[in-house]
Amino acid sequence: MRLSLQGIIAMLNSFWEANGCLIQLGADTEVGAGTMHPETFLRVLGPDPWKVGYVQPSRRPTDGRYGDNPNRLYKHHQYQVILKPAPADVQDLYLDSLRALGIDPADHDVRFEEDNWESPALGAWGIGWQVLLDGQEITQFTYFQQAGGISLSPISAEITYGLERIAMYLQDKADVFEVAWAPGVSYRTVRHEEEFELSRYSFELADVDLHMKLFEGALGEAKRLLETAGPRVALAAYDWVLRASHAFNVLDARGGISVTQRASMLLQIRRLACGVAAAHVEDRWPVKTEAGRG
Amino acid sequence: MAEFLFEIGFEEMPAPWLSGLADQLRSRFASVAGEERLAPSDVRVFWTSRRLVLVAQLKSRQDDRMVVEWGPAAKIAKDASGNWSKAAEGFAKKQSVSLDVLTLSPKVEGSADLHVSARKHLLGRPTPEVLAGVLPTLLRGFNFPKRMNWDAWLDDGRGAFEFGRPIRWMVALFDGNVVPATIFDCVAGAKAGPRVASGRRSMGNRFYPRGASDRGFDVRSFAELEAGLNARFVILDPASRAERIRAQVVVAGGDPSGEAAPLLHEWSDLVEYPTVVVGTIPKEFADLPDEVLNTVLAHHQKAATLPRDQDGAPRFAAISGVDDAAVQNAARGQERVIVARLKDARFFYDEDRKRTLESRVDELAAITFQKGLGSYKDKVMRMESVARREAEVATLRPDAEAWTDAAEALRLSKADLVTQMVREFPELQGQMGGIYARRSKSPRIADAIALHYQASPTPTAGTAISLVSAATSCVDKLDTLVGHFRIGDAPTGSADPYALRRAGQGIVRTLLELDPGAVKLATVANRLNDAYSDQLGHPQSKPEVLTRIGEFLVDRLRHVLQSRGYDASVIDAVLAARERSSARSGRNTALENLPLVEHDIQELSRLYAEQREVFDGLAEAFKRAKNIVGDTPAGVVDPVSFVEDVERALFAAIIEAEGTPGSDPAARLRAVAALRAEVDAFFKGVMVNADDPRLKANRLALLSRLLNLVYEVADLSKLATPTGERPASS
Repeated sequence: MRLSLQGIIAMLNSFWEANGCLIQLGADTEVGAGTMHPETFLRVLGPDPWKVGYVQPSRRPTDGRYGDNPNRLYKHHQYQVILKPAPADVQDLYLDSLRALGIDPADHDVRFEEDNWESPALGAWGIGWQVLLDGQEITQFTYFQQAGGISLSPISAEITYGLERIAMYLQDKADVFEVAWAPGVSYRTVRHEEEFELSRYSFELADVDLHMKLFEGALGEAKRLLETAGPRVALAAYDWVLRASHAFNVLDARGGISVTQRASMLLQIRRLACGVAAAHVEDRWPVKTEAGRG
Repeated sequence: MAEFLFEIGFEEMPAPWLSGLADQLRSRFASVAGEERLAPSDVRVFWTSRRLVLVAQLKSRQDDRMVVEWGPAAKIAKDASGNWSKAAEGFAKKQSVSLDVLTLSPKVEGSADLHVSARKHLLGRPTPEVLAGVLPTLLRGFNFPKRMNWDAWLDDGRGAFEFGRPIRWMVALFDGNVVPATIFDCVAGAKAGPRVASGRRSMGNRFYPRGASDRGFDVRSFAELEAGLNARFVILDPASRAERIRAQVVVAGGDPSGEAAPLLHEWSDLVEYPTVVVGTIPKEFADLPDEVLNTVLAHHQKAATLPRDQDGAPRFAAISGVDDAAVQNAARGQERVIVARLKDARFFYDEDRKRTLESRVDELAAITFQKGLGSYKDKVMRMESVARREAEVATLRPDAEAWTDAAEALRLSKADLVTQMVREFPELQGQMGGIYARRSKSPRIADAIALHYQASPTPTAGTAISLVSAATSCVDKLDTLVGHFRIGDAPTGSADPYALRRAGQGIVRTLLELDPGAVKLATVANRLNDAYSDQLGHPQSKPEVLTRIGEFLVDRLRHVLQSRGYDASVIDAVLAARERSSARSGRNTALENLPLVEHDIQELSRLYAEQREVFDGLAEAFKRAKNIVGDTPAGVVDPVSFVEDVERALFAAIIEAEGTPGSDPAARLRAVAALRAEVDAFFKGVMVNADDPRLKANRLALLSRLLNLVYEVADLSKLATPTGERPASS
């Protein structure tokens, strides 16, 4: 059995649905990783249990290679699972999902190797591993510790599968563009033109001044919402933070950012991401103050 | 005595932490079990990526012991008629003793202040009961480089329980019986249901043996645990894993004790059942520079380079955790990942070579060297100009040529920072510059670029360092030092964010190998300092920076020499002599000739080892002489004014010793060692601070002359042990 890319997605959906996950859709604004989806970033906050799986198209303009590189993509696809709280057998569950994909861990070198995930822009970090399959990283496995600068409880397990990598492995392809997206339909057919045009845009055509304005405008809007619009604006504000983050990524690829500028822009995104997280927690789980306490 | 077995099973712990965690477990257990009077012996620890195991012999119950409990003071404990008071009765009741065992005695021996006390015989508790209290202490007692919240709770009064990775099982047995311990869930900051309870159930390998439906197994002892793990593809003893790896690397044709040794060591803690897999790299990559191949292999896949096969194709060995049947898959997978990486490398390498390094120098203007110190372009221009100036003033033709080459190398030294290869593989900086430079520049220049980041730019062990490489490396490091010292970034305490100490050590190591004077540190530092001032438009030249860098480098020199195994007091003695001459001359004489410093240290070390007792005696004498002479300006010795024979004898001996060439430290030191008897006799027979001022001045002059005899080589007083200190008197 050699699953196509869409077969892998369907299998993971079935697997995680059977294990109690809600099957969601990817975020509908540009993001660099499944972690940035509100289904992860905001759901891991607060006490409520949550189990979800979804495919996240992830745009990383600096990784664009015009479709020339067999391993690098402007846009790749992650399958993201959040299990909150993390079950005691979460590693075994994950290994079972590999078996469902047709990878028997006994036939391969499957290793959990230390790799602690951190996103300075989101004020988020976690403890965990990269999962290596015969030396190839196919999954990032993280116990979230903080998001938006807030220490988490309960702790969520995040499993992020690199779908292209897994497909390349299963189909024994050295070039991602030779992967079968569906039986008889190649990744090249589906995605190559997009890789070329979006790489070209990010590296050559993107208007630096415009993106600088987009960045500032998006952050300004998020800030305005958080500071002046009262409660229940966190989700809307978060969309603007994501837009700012994407504008930043485009600028980064275009070479429009100096080293010091870069640090200060990341810091601005982080401040607002933390503001969103705090506002969301306040909306959803307000601290009950007991009146009459002396 | 009976066996205590404790296994903590967890999700994969970072391999580099494991041996340290095992050490912590062993020492903490030994001290806690000792305090609990369980007489721990034969304490051993083992580990894999998924478990820490401790086994020890313990008494089956604590020793009994006597304790003294203290109660109220005598005047409260006895009533007016001398009977025990209510307070004393209360104390006896609280201590569960009868009134007749109470006594009055001083708390502090010899004090008149009496208190009531009760001696109690405490029965030792059975070991399992004690261990139940010890286990939480052990679990809580680890220091992790990084801890995680995993929603756990420990009932030890401290509550929320963080660990390195989630704990999944615990085996705790004393004499075959379970010692209870429970880790609870932590929900909303409070204790909830049980999560992991100790028992006798351990776990085997995650995947092997194939087909097993249950990976767990019950044990009654360490022997059963070890045997059970062995049957289940877990090699518990790290030494056995390392041995297995070594043997397999040898079979693969590799050298396990060569350059790969540290890597192999790292491998042994990555998996519970190590299996070495061997892969071959397609010949199309065989012409990539070795540096690139090795970097991809070692840094990105933790793989070791093996000798090439008979067709010249590069081969590698990598670690895996598979059984024999899966070796092929593991090896092919590694090859695939490595080839993908090499394809990237191939692309970047070919792209980079379409342009010369020279053409990239201007792009360095966009890269900040350090905030407040300009760009890398500024840095290379500064360094080049200083090297060109050194070439102009060099008196020997080869030196001038070397400095001209160094100037070229310095201008190109950072150009590889803007190549695609170094962006992709930052650890190759310098080396890539060297590889690219080799296409258009002389090998001397290319080598200098390739080696200039290294601690000491020696091509390979045993080869001599070239002046071009040494000058390039020293100027780069010195430029970094001068810049950071100028903006107040000198290292303090443990804070050294720019690795300036390492840079300083690099300079020192290089100069120790070089002809003295080939790189004139003071001059070069001075020129760099001026170049900074010019470039950055700073009005003042900041000369104080140079003095501080001199002191900093002498301190680094001390460190390097100590790491080479020389006795600290010998180093101090030689460096103190240099410090003295530096103070006189206003130049840092230690840094002017580093090989001579080391040579003097070698000579003194050798003589000190041969004639330990003589030099210890001299050290005391010199120390005394120094204290007496103090800052008194040395007069001229007048042989006619001597009154004692011992004075005359010492002076004659000094004159004799002065006849040895001062440039030969060994001869001079030996001559001084021969003075021992005269020196001792002098101090025994003469009072230096005589009432007659003329006599006193003459004796002081004599002592100064004695001290000066070896001051050029070493300040022997530094050999004196601190305990041998005597007050300054005559």
